[in-house]
Amino acid sequence: MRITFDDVAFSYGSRQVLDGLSAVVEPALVTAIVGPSGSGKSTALAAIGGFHRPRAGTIVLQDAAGQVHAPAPGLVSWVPQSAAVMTRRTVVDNVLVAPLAAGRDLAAAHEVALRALGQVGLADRASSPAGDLSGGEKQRLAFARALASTRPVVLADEPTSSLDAESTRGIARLLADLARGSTIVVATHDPLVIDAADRVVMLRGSARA
Amino acid sequence: MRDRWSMPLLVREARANLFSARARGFPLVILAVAVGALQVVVLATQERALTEELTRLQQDGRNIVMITGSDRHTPARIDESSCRALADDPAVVRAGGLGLPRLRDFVQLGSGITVVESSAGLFPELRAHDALIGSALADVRGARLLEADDGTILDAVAGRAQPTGVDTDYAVVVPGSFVGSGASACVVVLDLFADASTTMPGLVSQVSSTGGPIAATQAMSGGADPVRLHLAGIGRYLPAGWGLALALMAGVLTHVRAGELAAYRFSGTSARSLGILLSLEHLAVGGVLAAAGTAAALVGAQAFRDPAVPVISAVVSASVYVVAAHVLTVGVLRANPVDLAKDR
Repeated sequence: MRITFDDVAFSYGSRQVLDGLSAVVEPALVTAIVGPSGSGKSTALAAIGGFHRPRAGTIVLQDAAGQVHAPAPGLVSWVPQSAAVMTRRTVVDNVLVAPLAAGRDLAAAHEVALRALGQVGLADRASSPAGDLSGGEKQRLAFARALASTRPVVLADEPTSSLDAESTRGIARLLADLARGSTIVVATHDPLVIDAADRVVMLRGSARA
Repeated sequence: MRDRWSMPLLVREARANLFSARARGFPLVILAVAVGALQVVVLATQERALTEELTRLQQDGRNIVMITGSDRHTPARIDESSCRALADDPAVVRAGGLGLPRLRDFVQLGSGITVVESSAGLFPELRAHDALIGSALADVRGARLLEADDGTILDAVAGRAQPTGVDTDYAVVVPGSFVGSGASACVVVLDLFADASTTMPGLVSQVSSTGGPIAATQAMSGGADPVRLHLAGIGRYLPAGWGLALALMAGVLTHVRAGELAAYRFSGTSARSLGILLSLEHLAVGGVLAAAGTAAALVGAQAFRDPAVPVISAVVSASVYVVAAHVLTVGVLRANPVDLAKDR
């Protein structure tokens, strides 16, 4: 799915966060949104997902058939900074919720979840409590959930901010793998992730890209 | 955003979030069980304390009603059988007439002992014995023989201390026929929890008498009624308080779970479906609370005059819990999932 920002502005109250952002995110690629803290990286992601509405400008999502969509939570999977893992449930239960929310029955959802866990290298941990996973594994779990939701866009907000270098390299490789089937947009300031990205959108704090 | 969660699968999620030892909501389930059982224990303790206080006050004359002639110049003679029949009233424990006191000599007790005629309605011991020795006169417990000044031998029993209003502790009580003469007073011992002020007029109207008019008075008057104080006290809000306290715990848990709830939203779960899921969880915890209270009430049923009271109390707690927990959940459902994920 191609995502087009056209002169997008956003502010929290009187604080201007994005001003005149224009950029194109190409499908089936990993696009990194980078910039200093407070430059609006997460806000740009949230705007793609329809979680925040821009003050000005437009964001358009265009699918492979050329159909144009407004930003909506139903089009995206979100991988937050904190992974948002249900620590008391099993790993597979954490992933199951995505296909279940999409209307699959339990058996089919289980199959989808295990496949997604296999894609992120966690198939052997499927029955473990999610709370037992390391930080890097929790992020991979969050990506597995995003995969299992089969949404066309995956938005990842600083997914490596609390990970060590080895785990970060693992996530960077994962992003490249996932991009084969989805449009990946990742807000980051991690050089390893930036290096792994196909495109980089640079935000310069209340400035245009 | 719409999703396609089915109700059985949301029920499965709610169950998984609550009913396993590892589940995030499991401590809340345990708390619900504890609150349900604890409130029954508290209710039983309150009822026992109130009963003890009422028993003590009854000994001082509370809920002891005396129906006597109210005109000093025209004595009333009370039909003792109508007095005894008052015991059919559920608010009455025992009732019976008293005759005018007279003095007699007894070999075992001495001379000039007050003798009062009454009936088994007021003194059940008179069903099996010829006389009841007032507690202040009886130095030996158990049955004994009394020899009166005319040589009559009476099979007597030592009586318990009587409450104020049944002033026979210094007298010997003997069965009276009351045929023709009637009783000079009708003494009614009300149930501890009865309301004498509302019961007395009805009692008077059921008593037959001749001569002057009759009226009812309570042996102890004045002072705040402990039953009314109990019913009007802050304790009546306790069931709601228990439910509210548990709901506050649920609110804290929901806040702690914000990141997990965000996981549902990021996985395509709509706010509506998440609301249904949380609602199912609240209903389940409320159900556990009501069930635990009901089970505790059944186990401790003998501690209550009315076993329905603790059950109703548990149901009230559970209802308040469910309503309050829903109110405390609204903020989470309205929150932006992105903010929810940060709020941990």
